[in-house]
Amino acid sequence: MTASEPNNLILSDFADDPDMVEIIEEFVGEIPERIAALQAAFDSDDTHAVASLAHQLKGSGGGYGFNQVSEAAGRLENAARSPSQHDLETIRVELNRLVSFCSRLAVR
Amino acid sequence: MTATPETSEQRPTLLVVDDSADVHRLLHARLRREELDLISAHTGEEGLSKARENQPGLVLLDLDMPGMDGFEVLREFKDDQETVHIPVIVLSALSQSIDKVTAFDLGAVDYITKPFDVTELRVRIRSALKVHRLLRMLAEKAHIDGLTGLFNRQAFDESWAKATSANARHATPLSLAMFDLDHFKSLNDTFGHPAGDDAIRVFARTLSRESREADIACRYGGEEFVLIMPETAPEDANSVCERVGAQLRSLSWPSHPERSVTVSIGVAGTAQQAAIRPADWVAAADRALYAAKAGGRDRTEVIDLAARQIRMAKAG
Repeated sequence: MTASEPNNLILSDFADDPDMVEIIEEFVGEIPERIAALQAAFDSDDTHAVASLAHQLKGSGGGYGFNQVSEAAGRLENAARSPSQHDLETIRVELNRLVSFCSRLAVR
Repeated sequence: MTATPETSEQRPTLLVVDDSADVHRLLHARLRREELDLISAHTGEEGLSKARENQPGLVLLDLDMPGMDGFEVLREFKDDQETVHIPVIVLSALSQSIDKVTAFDLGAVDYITKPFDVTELRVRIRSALKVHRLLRMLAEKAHIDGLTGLFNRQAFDESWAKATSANARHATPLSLAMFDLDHFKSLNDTFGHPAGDDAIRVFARTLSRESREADIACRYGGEEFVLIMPETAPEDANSVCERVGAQLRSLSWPSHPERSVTVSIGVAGTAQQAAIRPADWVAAADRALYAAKAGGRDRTEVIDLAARQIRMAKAG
């Protein structure tokens, strides 16, 4: 499966590692909360909070075996750090892309 | 039992200082099978206090934290006698050379960038622990007498300097005993050097067993030993020494059953502040030892430095 097929699930690179299964489940379980926080920050035009929340996801996604989450979160962080107003649209695009990845994360 | 050099190998503790809950969760999962106990701190301040309290074998330190950042933590770590010896590996998303150089300048032993590779992280942790275990062993070895396992002369000099300065500052009691095995040369000449070495080893063991937790037993050289007794007035030091002498006297010796081994002991101590230089204090214990030899050996002579000061004050 690849990231370009929106209906496919994204599996962690470490899904077969018995040391990791439990915390991957925890991470995936917390994702809706994190996405909601990102969405709320974006809706209130708080680009600083968007950048900081995205930064955290960038830092941890790969650790749980979800490199695509890290990459998408990294792009969102960069967009949110850019000070220009017309980048709001870029932020929206990157946020939607990240949300779409995150909605497809699966433990197994 | 006396304080003897620490040789036991225990499972090291790893303190992780990072503001990200994800990092703690990932490290706990990833290092589960390592021979390590993990402790977590979520701020720089918490990291400092947990390091002081738990004395971990290694610290993994994040740099970019709200409040006290990792650079500040490193600075405080290396300024504090309680933490200066603890190795610190920086684990940070900051990947510029300037950050790495600053961290090493501040005393970090290694630098790992996030996102970290698990295998690399594990081997770097193992390597840092190994190097620091060897450094500790070297430092200990430099202070241990090879034949007896007691502290050596150099360790005595350092401990004695500390003990006497505590006495000078706080006027807490302090006694020093000097031991010399009786007729040691004749024991060696009659029964051979292995018998002499055996007497030295067995006496060292007796000295450790009969002294107390806070006492510091050292081999001073040859068949001479010293015992630093902090918080101990001369009369109490005398009882400790009498016990050591009696215990040694009662032992039987397989290689020379017909001949016992005894020790002469000189004590110099005070229940108050001693107006005396550390080297003169040792010389006083030596004089007491000489008196014990002259008085027939296998006995303890005590010089109370406070009483002597009083006598000197009266005479003057």
